[in-house]
Parts: sequence; structure tokens; C-alpha cells
Amino acid sequence: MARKECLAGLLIIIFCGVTTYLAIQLPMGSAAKPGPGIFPLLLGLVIGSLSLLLILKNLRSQTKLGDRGIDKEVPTGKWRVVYLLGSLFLYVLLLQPIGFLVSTCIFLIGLKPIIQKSWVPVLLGSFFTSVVFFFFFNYLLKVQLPMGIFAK
Amino acid sequence: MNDLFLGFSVVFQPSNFLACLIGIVIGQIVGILPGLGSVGAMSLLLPITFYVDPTTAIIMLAGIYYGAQYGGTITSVLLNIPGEATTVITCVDGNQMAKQGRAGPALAIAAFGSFIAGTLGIFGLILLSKPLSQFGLRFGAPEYFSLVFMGIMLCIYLASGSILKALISAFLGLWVSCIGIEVLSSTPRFNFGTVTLMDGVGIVPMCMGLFGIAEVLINIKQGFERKGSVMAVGKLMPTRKDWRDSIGAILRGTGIGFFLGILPGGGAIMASFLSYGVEKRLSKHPEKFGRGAIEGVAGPESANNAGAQGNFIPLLNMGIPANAVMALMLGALLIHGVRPGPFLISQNPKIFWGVVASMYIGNVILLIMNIPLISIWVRILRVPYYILFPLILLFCVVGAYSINTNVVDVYIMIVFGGLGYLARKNGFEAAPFVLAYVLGPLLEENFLMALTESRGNLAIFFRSSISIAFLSVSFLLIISVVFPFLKKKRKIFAQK
Repeated sequence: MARKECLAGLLIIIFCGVTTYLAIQLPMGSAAKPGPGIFPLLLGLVIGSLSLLLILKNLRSQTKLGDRGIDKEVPTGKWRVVYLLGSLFLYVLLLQPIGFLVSTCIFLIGLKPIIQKSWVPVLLGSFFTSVVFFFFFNYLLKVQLPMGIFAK
Repeated sequence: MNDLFLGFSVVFQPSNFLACLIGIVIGQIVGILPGLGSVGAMSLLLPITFYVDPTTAIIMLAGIYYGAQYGGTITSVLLNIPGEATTVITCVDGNQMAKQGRAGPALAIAAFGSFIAGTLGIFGLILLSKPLSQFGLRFGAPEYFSLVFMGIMLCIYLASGSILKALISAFLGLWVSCIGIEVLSSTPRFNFGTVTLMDGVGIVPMCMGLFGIAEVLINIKQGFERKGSVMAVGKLMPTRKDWRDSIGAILRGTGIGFFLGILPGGGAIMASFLSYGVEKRLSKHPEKFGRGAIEGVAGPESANNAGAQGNFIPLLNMGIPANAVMALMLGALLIHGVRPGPFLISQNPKIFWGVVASMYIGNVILLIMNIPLISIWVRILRVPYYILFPLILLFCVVGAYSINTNVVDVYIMIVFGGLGYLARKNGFEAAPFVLAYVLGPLLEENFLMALTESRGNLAIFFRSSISIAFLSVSFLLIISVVFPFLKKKRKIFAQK
């Protein structure tokens, strides 16, 4: 756990380094007329300092307790997270080209490895849900959902 | 009191009562469906109000506003998806209560708390409307900066885990609020040349990602097996102990919400976060917060309803809108030829007192409508998760897309969903991040304006008693956290 926190702190410090560099490119102005770069610069420095504190705190606790940062968490289920995030990205990528109706159906069918039910309920459920959502949001609530291949 | 009776007589006219009811129903639906938002719903319905008289129009629009507040509470408690920005903090303890089979008491106490806050708010409006709006005029840039700074320091009390991580989350939220056009100089920042990010990161897709998508990711990682009666539905109504625990929080939340609602910018959002911080600070068992403490629902829900009422004070008394919703109300009033301001009460008493009375009637309708519906709402929790989570994802995607009919908002939601998942796994909490993000623009704008006013002299923040008071509270908050840590250190040294 301590090792994970040190890694998180390090990633945040790298992020702060990048953002501080970007902030410096902006006009700083003066004390009497501060520019748009001053606030993000100050924030970058504060966040970087706090993250360094986090790393030091965890390094100290590792040394004190003799914790070698062994992560005892069993990595089951992580694949589901990666798979779902990937599916969501792909779904949004297809949303406008092929339309809400078809892309939603494909997305829901694609969740079968996570849902772990047989094909018939998954296919029927995906089709039915896509149609209901489309009619509810597009016609009842007048949300302009992408028509894609059904566009006139 | 005669004026209030006039107001009630106006509301109970069939057309006005119907408008109030329609507004509340639409508002609640809008609040439940993330992404649509009360501003969006009010904008869509604004043309319809052209065909009715001004009183009816404002009563309906006001109904949408506070109907949406409660609708957002329902999804916050049941699904950990905040329907409105003001119900973000309700997710923290409300959803934990739902996981413990106490969704009914959470929703019921939110409804009752809102009703009590609404009732007391009416008296506040009648008695304190004028003096409070005058007090609000004393707030300049240094006072606003100090108030907002205090609000962000309160994030220390929102943390149920590491305070250092809560501070990092909050400052990261402040940084994300810098994305977009800088208010004073109109300089684009961190938008990487994209037009979408010129407006900054939208709060709705961000919250849906951090709370809704992240929650789904956490749950599917754990698998669908439910242990024991984690998602069982227990009693639907609060117990006597729940009431004893909540009544103080409701009264304090009402006071906090009402006073903060008067101030432009912060309003109901800050009131709900501040109320949560206060309840945690005052509680004899602060370790319960974040794990299903009913005070963590009662206080913020009362605060956001009282804040919604307080928002009307600067609007009706001075014609100053406190936020985007009130700006829309102002637009509606002007379209109907009504000019809000100090003479509104004398020139258009029916409108002023009609709106005031409609708030009370609206709260009664919400209570009567929602208490019987709680048993239906909690049934959502009985739906198997393999059916529920795809529906949650679809609602989030459509909700994010519907904001600007732009897929970039959906991408933002997914990115924040992934980040929210990683943050939760590593003990970084989302609530301080969201609070700081919301308050960031106010903090920066007032900081820069104050420095410009004083030509770079930081003493400006210590010139008024209001600013000194807020900064002192912030300092005490920091000390109260650091001091126990220092005390522990001294003990260790002494033992050595």
C-alpha cells in the first residue's frame, strides 16, 4: 500500500511539473495586476509540495514498520475494469458514425463477458433497451441523439 | 402575515397550483436524469411561460428548481450518481446508507429535512429579506475570497480518510477549474487548442464520471456476488434515533443554507458542503461520516433547499441573480415586464408573495408526493446488478451527451470515471475535488480582483471584519487538524 501511495505521489509530482511548465508560458503580470499564469503556477507548486510530503510520509512508514510495500491485493476483476473502460471508449467512438441505436446495441452485447449470461437474453435485452432508450430520449425528451446510418 | 396570506391565495388559484405541480414533477424528473439539469429544463419551458401570466410563469419555473433538488437526491442516495451539483455531498453518506439497507430513511429524512428547511426559510424570507440583502452588499472581492477559502479548508472535514490526500484532491480540483478561459483577462488556459475545453471541464460529466462511472467500475471489479443483505431494503421510514440524530443537523443546515444562498456564486452548492463539514466537526462520532451517518444526509439536504430559497432574496429584492438558475428567472421576469428590485413588493405584491408561498406549497407537494414513492424508489436497489449497471452507464452516456450534443463531454466523463476509480482505490476522495472545482473560479477571480484593487498589497484581505472572521475560522480549522498531530509528536518525544 505504501509503495502504491509513493507511486501516486510521484505521478502527481510529474503532472505538477508539466502543469507548472505550461503555467510559466502564460503571462504572469505583476503584483498590482496579476496575470492568468499566477494562480495555476501557485497551485502547481502547492500540489507538488503536498505530493512530496505524501511520498516522504510513506517512505518513513515503510522504514519504521519494515514494510516492503508488498501488495497483498489479489488482482481479480481488474480485467473487467479495463474491458469496460475500453468498451465505453469504443462505444462513444462509434456513437456518431453509426448512430445511437446501433452503437448502443453493440455496446450492450459487448458487455456479455462481464454480465456472464447466455446469448438469447443478452441479445434480446440489448435490442430492447436500445430501442426504449432511443424513443424515450429522442422523441419524448427531445434530446438530439445521433442518427448515424439512419440519418436522412 | 397578511402578505403571506395574499401569497397563499395566489398559489391556490387553479392555474397557479397546477403550474406549481407541473414544475415540481418536471423538476424532479430532470433532477433524476443526470445531464439535463434544472437550467436546461427551465430554458426549454421558458417559451411555454409566454402564454401565461408572470406569476404563474415564475411559480412553475421555481417549482422546477426545487423539484430538481430532490430528484438529484434520489439518484445520489440510490446509485451514487449526483443528479445535481448540489447533491454531490449527499452521495457520500446517502449511498452508504442505501448499501446498508437504509435507503428509505435516507430518502425520507432528505424529504422531511427539505420540508422543514423550506418552512423555516419562509419565515426567514419574510423577516430577514431586506436586512440580509443589505448585508450581502457589504461583500467585496476580499470578503468573497476569504469566504471561499474557508469553504475549501472545510474539505479537511469532508475527508473520512487521509487529510493530506483530501488536500491534494482539493488543490487538484482547483487546478482543473483553471482549464478554459480566464475570467479577468479572457486568456485561454490548458485547453490545448480545443474549442470544447474553452468553456472548461463541465461539472456534470465530471461528477457523473467521478461518482457514477467510478462506482460501477468498483462494483464490477468486486463481482456481482452480494454478501448477506448488503442490498436488502430495510425500514422505509426513519426511526426515533434517526430523528434525534438529524434534527440538529436539519436546523443548522437550514441556517447555513439560507445565509449562504443570499451570496451570489456560492449558494446552495457551498451550503451543502459547508453543512456536511459542520456536522462532522460537531459530531461525537465523526468516524461515522462517510460510512452512512444520517446527519451527513439531513444537514446538506436541508442546506441546499434553504439555499435555493435564499437565492431568491437578492433576485427579488435587488434584481441580482445569485447563479445561472436565478439569472434565468430574472430573464423570465423581465420578459413578462416585471422588474425585480426594492419596489417589487410594493408594485407587484402578488408576484413576490405568490413566489414565496409557492415555495412552501412546493415543499408540501414534494413531501406528499415522495414519501409514498420511497418504497418504489428503493426497489431499484433490488434490481440485479448485471441489469442495473448497463442502465446506469447508458443514463450517464446520454446525460453527458445531452448537455451540449457533443461526444467530448462523454469522453470527459469516461476519463474522470477512470481517474475516479484509481483515486478511490488509492484513498483520494472525490468530494473535496468537486467542492474545490466549483469554488475555484470564485476564489481566483476574487483573489485577482482584490490584488488589482489594492495594487498588490495583501493587507486588503485583513481590512474588513468579515474577511478577518473568515480567515480566522480557516486558520482555526487548519490548527485543529495540525494540533492533534503535533500533540502526538510531543508525546512521542517525551516518552523517548
